[in-house]
Amino acid sequence: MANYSTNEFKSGLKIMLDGDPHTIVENEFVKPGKGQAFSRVKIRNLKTGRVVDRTFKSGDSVEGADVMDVDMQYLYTDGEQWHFMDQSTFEQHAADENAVGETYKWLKDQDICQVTLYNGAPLSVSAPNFVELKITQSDPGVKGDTAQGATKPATLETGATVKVPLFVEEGEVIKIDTRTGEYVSRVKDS
Amino acid sequence: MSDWRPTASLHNLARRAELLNLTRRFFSQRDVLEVETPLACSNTVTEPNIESFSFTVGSIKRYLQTSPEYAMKRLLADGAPDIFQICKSFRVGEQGTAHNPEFTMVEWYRRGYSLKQIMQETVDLIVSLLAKSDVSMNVEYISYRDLTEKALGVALDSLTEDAIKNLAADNGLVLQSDNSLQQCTDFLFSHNVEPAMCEQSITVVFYYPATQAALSKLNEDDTSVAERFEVFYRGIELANGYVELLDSEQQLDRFVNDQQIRKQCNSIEVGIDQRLIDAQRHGLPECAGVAVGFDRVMMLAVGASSLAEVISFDWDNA
Repeated sequence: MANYSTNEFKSGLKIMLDGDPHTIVENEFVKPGKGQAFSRVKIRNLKTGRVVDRTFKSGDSVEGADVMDVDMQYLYTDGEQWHFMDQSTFEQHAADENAVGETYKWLKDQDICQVTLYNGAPLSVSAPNFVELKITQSDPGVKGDTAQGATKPATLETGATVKVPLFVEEGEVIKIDTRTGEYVSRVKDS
Repeated sequence: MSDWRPTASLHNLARRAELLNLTRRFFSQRDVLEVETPLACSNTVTEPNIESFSFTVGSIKRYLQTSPEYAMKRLLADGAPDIFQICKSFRVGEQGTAHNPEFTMVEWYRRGYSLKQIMQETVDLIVSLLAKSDVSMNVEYISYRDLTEKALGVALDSLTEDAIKNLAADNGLVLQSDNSLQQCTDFLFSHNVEPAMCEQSITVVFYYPATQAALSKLNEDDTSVAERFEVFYRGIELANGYVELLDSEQQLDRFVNDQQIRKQCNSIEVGIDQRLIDAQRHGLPECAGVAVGFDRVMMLAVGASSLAEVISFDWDNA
């Protein structure tokens, strides 16, 4: 990988630090008038998600991280791994539990997800912002409970549980915002 | 369409004009003469941490000045009275919320002034420029040693080289093999000491370690400290001043030392300004001088969060 000098630092740049890939969140130039200049960065560990503060002497260079975001189609899970396919190369990648994390809740066959590859292997997976999933189980809403915004739990085909309005029924397909995990609307069969 | 609009509002530009007038009035009331010196000179500073812009046209090479200090000292050596200047200064690579590679400096020299007098006058100027703003007007005077002890629990200049390097690494500096003691010291000062300064007052830091004397003279009673001071507000450096070093040979030694440091850091080689050395050999009068970052004072005066908001066009739009 290429090396980056501190004067190329900007948010989004992926670099290696302490053996882990990181992304720069914020970069600030600090310099005492007569003294050494520094780049003070907030930097996120792409493996753990932790954000730390680090400072580099201006002009120092650091190794870039071989990290790429690739759109891939989700194929299936075998229970231990989740399988994706790069649609341009048809290459398949298997992501483990660490990479998929809580995103498994929103993974539906055929959906296009963003897979972050580190040294060619999946490091993390992000679901599309909106997914459409079928409700596999939800009790009928209690009649008479007409209070505005009243909700009930619903279990989806992926196993995730979301809160839905009382009028939504088992067997229906609903739209979810995966960033918040919230119900957006019902999806009419076309 | 290109981004042609100014980065500063018209309101801020009007305030800027007002403060420039106020600065000129401040000095004319004190009988300090306004001067102008060249911005494009045949020499520049040897300071290891300051890079100059240069240009070459045919056989002529010139440097854009990083401060008007050398030319103003040549005026003083020739017998000029107290003088001040408001001018642009240029430094390569210094860009951020409180830095712009082209910036405005207010610099002045007072004959026979002590450290105490020049610190007081600098505070007077800053306070008068900020009179209409909501910046607190308390002023705290503290020595470099006491300040670092207060912020770090131990005075920076009492630590060994290893202790300073470890402390820097513990505080988040990503150390490379070639980090010097001075770099680690600068790191601790800018990352731990500056943020620990009182939020509610203008802080004047004086008696810098002799290793950071730059162009100041050493204290006669304690040669481990220099007659240098800086003024900060909320961790932002507003002014840097000295009781000036007069001894031309000591000055030459410091320049040669700067050149060696530049060589070690693989920085660009810079020649020594012989005209300044000759002027000092002729004789610089006892004097004190200081530079104030005008744009930064402007930032505080209008409550801006970046220099771009008080400069008509910042570096990226210039």
